[in-house]
Amino acid sequence: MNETNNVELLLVEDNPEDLELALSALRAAKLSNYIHVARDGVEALEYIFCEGPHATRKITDRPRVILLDLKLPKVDGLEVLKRIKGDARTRMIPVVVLTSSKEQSDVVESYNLGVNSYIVKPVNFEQFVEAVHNLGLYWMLHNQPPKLNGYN
Amino acid sequence: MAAVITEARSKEAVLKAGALQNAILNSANFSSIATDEQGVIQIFNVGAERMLGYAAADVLNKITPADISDPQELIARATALSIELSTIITPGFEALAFKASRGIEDIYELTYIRKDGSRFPAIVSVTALRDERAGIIGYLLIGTDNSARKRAEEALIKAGALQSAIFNSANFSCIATDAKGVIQIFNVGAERMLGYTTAEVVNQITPAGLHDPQEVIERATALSLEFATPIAPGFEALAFKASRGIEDIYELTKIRKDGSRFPAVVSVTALRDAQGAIIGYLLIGTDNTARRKAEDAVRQLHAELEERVIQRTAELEAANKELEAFSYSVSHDLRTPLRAVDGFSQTVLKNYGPQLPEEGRRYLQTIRRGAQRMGALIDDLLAFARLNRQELNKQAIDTGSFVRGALDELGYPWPDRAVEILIGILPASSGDPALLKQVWLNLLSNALKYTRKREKAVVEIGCMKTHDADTFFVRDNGAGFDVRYANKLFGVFQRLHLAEDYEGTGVGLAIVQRIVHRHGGRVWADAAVDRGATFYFTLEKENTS
Repeated sequence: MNETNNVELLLVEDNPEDLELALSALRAAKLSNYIHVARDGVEALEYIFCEGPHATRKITDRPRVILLDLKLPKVDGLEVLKRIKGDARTRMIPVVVLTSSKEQSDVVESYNLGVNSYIVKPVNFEQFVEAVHNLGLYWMLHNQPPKLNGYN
Repeated sequence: MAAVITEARSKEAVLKAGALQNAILNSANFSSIATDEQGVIQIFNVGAERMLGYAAADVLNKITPADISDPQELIARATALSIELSTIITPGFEALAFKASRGIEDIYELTYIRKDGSRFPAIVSVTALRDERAGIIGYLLIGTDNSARKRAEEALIKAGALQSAIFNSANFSCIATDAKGVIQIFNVGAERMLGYTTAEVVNQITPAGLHDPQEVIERATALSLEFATPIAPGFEALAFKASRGIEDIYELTKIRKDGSRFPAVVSVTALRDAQGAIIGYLLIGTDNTARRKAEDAVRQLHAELEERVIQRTAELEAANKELEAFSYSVSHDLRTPLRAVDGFSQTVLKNYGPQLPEEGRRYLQTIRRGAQRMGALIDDLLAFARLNRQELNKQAIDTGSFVRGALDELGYPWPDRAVEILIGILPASSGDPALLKQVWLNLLSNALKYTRKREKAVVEIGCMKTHDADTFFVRDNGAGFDVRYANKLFGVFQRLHLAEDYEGTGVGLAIVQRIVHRHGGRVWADAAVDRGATFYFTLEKENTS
């Protein structure tokens, strides 16, 4: 792991309760280190593309996974996803959509845009914890991120 | 001739005959009857025999021509002559010969009566036969059968009546022209329709002057192209086809004397002489305004209808969009607070559970169950709402393996339960696999659910024919229900059992019904309380006629 890559997980979530539950679930899955939280689409894009308050961050310090809610203020999740997957510098970052919506249009559009996984947040908290645990395990521990060079 | 010569005296007195006379006498097409001065028949030629059916021997020296004439007509003729000549004339032979006896040329029409009683109209010419001193010695009656001419005359009268009826009709304009197109006849219909009097048009103009000039030009151009010959945009444009012997009916705008216009349908025919040369044209026209109006009305109605359909469709689309936006919002926003309710209840239980009394922990569990149940209701409701928006993707389905797949999905063979599954012969079906999967999953999971309290559950899956349609069924020996409430079964959120006994949201059968309906089929149930239930469905229209 790159020494400067402190953040392993970017969580994009606007709802405070969902955020707290998600953090709690991540804690329970022992994945709470190096989490950065963005509260809307603009914050998320600024972080990912090192703009605004994150201008000093290096774009090569990619998070290992982005957990992305779809219904977000300002810029919605699908737009964020489109920007990530449409940029060669960020395309390789795994993005997991984590949302309330089971709407077929959202699912299809997300996969069209190149999402790596689509998870519907269950109402049942144990199931929610389980889901977060599984995706954390998969993307953070098992998934080997590609070695990227030449994008500086 | 032998029959004619019966009495030498008469023959000599009457016949001063030459070859011509003989020819007349022997003609089979003229009846020649000669009488003495009293009218008694002396000669009765072959023509008379043929026409009247008598042999000469039947009549010679026996009767007068009055005896073979219609008595009623004789009376009428006698009366008329009596008045005309101011002298009393008897309704016998005198009525036939009186004029001739006075030296007046006499040709009349009367009805002859044949020997068999049948009648025919005859034209008879009567001449007095005189001796050298001009004394009347007899009469010659030459007659022809007038039947054929009568018939022709009647036909002519009829045809004439028809023609004049057409010609005098105020509803058709009949315009006859000479060969150059100059109007010669302009009937009342034409006067009425066009507002001109006959005097204003006859020998003055051609019918082209009564038409929209622009249309006449267009027609001339079109015809020039069609016949590859220059056709002048005047009367020629109207009559060209008719002049070539082509039946021609066209629709053009006619212009009245006052300048107003109306659509007319015109039929043009060439009038020809006996040699076939064109001597003129006949243009028969009808005012097409009423038909045009009706057509316009129909067109307008059609347009309005289309407009309404477009409007309705737009409204429907808007409603659909709204519904979509609604369910999208429900999908996203309604579940979030539920997650908070459940999640934080669970967090309280986990972090502070030991500090809570038993009752407090139970309440929190109840809160969680409520939240989770509401989540399930929302999910089912959204799934149900989605059914109408989803497009049907029909495919051939191997029902047997389809059903086995559904059973596997439901956890077949349920090692902790005693369940007997009986599968009958299941014919192939046609439908949307994803949707039909939901039908089978719902019906089968219901059967499993409601047999849970049975020592041994029996679920039978089969197919039979109702009204020519394959009818699939799922039968169980479970809790059943009261058929009086069967109508409620397929409504959304309708349940016939307590949640404590059998869990569920009450959406499953509503989903089943909607899917079946979308396939054009029907679903129904039969059951008895505590004696199981059978659910039937078809995927095609039944033949109920």
